[in-house]
Amino acid sequence: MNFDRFRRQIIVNEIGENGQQLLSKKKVVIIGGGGLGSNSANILVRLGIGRIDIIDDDILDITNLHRMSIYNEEDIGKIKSQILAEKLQKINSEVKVRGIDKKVTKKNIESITNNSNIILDGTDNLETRFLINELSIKKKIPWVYAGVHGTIGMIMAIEPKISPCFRCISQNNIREKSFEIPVLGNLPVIISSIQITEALKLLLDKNPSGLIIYDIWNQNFERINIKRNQQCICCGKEVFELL
Amino acid sequence: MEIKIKLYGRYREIAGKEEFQFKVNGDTIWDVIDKFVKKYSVIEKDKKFIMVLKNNTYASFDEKIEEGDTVTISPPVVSGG
Repeated sequence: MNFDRFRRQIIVNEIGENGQQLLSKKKVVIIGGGGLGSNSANILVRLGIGRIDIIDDDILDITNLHRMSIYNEEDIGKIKSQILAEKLQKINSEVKVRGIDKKVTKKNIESITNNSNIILDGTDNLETRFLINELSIKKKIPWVYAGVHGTIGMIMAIEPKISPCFRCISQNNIREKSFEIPVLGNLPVIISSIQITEALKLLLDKNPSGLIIYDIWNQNFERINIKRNQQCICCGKEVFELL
Repeated sequence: MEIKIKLYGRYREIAGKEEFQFKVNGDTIWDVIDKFVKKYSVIEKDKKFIMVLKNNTYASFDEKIEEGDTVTISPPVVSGG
């Protein structure tokens, strides 16, 4: 990869030349190509990650455009994962980008995330997050949870067996009723940016920042250092109910 | 029994405060949630999905609480944008 394009990033102390080299060798899987997934992919490909796979089985529609900055009106009706991959490839042709038009299930999650260094959450439901969490613990692949609601975003980097897992902070309400969730259009890009920062820390072997809650309307930024639940059914007892 | 409630997200706006002492008639996390939801009825639809911690550690709904515990309550944040 041509590193000259990252010249101003390499002089950031937290990255450096070694960090940039490391990033160029990493593979990231992004599950979901919506508001969070598309913005995170856009940021990551510019940062110089080596390889990105984006998994999404959805079609772009006009109601997506207020919060997904990489798409435009010409993309309406197209397959999100494929159009996203095409756009990302134009940003940096040296990054290996794949768009995968699939729904993530217990049958395919292992093959989809095979050889990945980290998984990024861009999903829209708890069930898939619990599935990612189990896979993460079983295969020892870190992941970064992110979610948005209205003006609030939540992010947590999960290091298997080191930090609390998603199950450590969640009740067992896997099959929640689906409903249209309000999202302020400028929120996902901020939450994606925080998600990517936490991912960078994991990829560069630095410590993430715990559970982060950001309210963009009131400009409240909170970090909570949660303790691991030693009795956690997933990361404690390694019972995988969904895999 | 009196415990401390810490709120996050939109619950702060609903309650008009970040944290407060809360008297609970009962002894489990669910009793706390139940009383909280009754006090702020706008939260009723979140009830089963509320993210809750006891003393910054995971707490199941049936976990016991004790005098002086801090219970953190946050709305569910599940959309992928």
